[in-house]
Amino acid sequence: MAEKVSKKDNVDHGKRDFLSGTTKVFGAAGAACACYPFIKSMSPSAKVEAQKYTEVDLSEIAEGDTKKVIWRGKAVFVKHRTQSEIDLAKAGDKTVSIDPQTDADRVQRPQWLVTIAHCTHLGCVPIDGSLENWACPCHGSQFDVSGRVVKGPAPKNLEIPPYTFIDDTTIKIG
Amino acid sequence: MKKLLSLLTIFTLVASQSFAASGGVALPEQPWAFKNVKADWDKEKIYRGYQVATQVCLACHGFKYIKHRDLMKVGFTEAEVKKLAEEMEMSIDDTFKSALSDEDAIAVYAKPLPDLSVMNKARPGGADYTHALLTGYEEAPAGFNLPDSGYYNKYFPGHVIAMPAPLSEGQIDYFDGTNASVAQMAKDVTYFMQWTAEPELAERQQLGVYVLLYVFILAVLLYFTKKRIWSDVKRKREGDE
Amino acid sequence: MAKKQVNPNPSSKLEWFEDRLPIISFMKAELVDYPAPKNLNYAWNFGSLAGVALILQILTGFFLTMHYKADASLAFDSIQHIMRDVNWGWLIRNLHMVGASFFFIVVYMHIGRGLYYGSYKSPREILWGMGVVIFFLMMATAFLGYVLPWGQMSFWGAQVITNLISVIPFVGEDIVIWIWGGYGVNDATLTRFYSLHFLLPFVILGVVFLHMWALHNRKVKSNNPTGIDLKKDTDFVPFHPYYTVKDSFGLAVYMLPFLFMVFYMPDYLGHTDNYIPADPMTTPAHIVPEWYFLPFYAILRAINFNILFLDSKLLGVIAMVASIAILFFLPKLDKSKVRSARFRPIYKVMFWVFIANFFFLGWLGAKPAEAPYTQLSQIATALYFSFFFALPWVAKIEKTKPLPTSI
Repeated sequence: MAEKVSKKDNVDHGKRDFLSGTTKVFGAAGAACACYPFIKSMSPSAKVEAQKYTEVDLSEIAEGDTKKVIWRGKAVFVKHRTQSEIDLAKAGDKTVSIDPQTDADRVQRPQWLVTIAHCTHLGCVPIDGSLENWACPCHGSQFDVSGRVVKGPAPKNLEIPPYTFIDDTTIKIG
Repeated sequence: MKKLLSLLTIFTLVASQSFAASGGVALPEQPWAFKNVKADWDKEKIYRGYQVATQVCLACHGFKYIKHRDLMKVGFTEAEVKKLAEEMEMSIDDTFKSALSDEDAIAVYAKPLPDLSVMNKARPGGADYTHALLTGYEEAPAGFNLPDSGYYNKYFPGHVIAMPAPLSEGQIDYFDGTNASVAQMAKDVTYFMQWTAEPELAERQQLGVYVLLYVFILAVLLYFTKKRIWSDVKRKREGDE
Repeated sequence: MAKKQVNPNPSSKLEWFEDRLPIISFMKAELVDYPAPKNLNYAWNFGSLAGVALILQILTGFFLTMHYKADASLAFDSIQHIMRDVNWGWLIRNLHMVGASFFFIVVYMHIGRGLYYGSYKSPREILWGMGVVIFFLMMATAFLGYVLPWGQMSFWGAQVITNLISVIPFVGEDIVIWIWGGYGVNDATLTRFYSLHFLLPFVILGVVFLHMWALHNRKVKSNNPTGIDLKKDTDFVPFHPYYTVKDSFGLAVYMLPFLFMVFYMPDYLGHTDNYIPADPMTTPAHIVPEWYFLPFYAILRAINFNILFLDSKLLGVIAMVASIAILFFLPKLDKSKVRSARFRPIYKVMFWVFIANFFFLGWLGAKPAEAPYTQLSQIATALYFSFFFALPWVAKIEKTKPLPTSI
């Protein structure tokens, strides 16, 4: 009797494994797909995605001043540089060593520096207003008037966001 | 237990039906395209409805959850949407605000007027109700005591509505030259309001088919797997008896 | 052979881990090897379905909390934000909304199965009692959740239900004010309801664990359609794969109507009034609770008369609470030694009358509180309670059919 049963079981097993295998794979694939909407629900919503651009009125920013604006939830510095600051930035082209880059590569018009205001180390916003550079309050990184890192731990220069001059007094970031 | 199952199904259907039909007057049902399982939003209908909504409704009611950008999801290009927004002196991210402020509305109607964004979901009968209401204005029957501040509407609960008939023949210049009859405008603006109430409807209904098909196949597979796995138990049981 | 101490030279990493936290053997014992009677019918699917429904509610609810705003001025808008702006927000919300209704359907079926097959009788009294606790908690959670969209029905439902508490003599009024955090339903009420709506499902989960523990106790185990105690090992099959596959099949079948509602009629079981923002100055014409509360709502409204110094309002609340709480006493009330209704001719009839009457109460609950519905509700309420009070007497007079000796 016992032998008979086990024989029958053996006959069944091949089919059972194929059928239950198919079912398992099919079910698992569905379960995996079902996860997608939940994961995706945490991505930026349509409301956030709609805020792609930030327009900045440059006429409000006096020479030597920096304005902080928000672009897609990030802080951005818009700095109206004086002639001496521009000269300083140009002079820095030869001295910056951590992430060498020329000032000309970082600005579209020399008197306007537009840079993301988050330290490339861990994302704090450097404090502006110091004489010729920014200093990050978190770990002491320093950046020059071109937003280039002159003292670590930040590994890279401040990022430049995409922006265009709509006219002489307005830029569109994004 | 099978009896219990079927009873419960019937109960659920009957019980819920009784909520759905709590509106009062029977509403004429319209053959709405969005009732089709695989319906997609029709750009032209939305556009015509948009014209009615912005040129008529918006004078008194807002659509606070709707902005021009949303039209891009039903086939409008960014340029088209920008142009429409500019014509209304709005940015494409401004929501549709009523021309009538809440204060002014309170002065006239003693309350702020309802926002229309989800109106088609907020009344029993939904789209059919909206459509019936817009086309239900008529002379009060003889002997009906109509107060001065109200208008007679066949489909409004109690028949006395504070809103004057919003639509009149030829009120709109449709972009496609469609004749702007009251019936046409009522149909278009109701369609538009269905879209504002549940813009996800098309996506939801289209996806639903595939999801249900998948679950059905899975159920069939599981049924046979179950049968197979249980076959030895069944056999043993038969052997016992 | 149980080891008294950890093996200092474990033969595998698994054994080392198991000696310290025997979770894998626990899971294996309870979810894989658990001996389940082999004659369970599809009515036994509703237990695991209820578990799935609970998990699905917790999961979808958790993702909704990331977008919902529990603030009287923002709540309604945040629901629309979920429906429109959040990626797949409409799907998650519909799953949660329809899921609540389906959770109740499943739990009602589960309770009905327990009633029919006498699953509440010894040795399952505590198992049953835990189930009633779960049912109470579920009702509280569902009520709290319905308030959150902050529509008209949310607001006025909250108003009406919280006012029930004011019937408690002497301190009732003060308690209601305390619950509201104000002198009416307000922003503070919404915020605390949100907190509680988040918390309670986890309390339910805890009680579900106790419920399962009481079931899996090897001295108790599952009841079966015959209601007799199973003694032979051959009467059982291991839970896996036999019941895992059967429950999976049941789950897939359950998903068909559930997902159909989610995709094609998500608002069907809801109220249109709840798409009107809450307005403390205007009450909707028909205040009706969600369908799953209707039978109990009918019992509440059936009591429109005073008895001695007790007024109708207090009596109504007592009747409503008692209509559920009486389930706790079912094991005491039903003294019949036979469990399954299969072998109890009188009880079987009583059961179906009870179920039909329960549906009738549900129907009455949706009707306005006026003649003849109030009178009918009174009769149905009397019938509801008489089911329970007749049980001790039925046990005495009923001639049960002979029980089989084995399945």
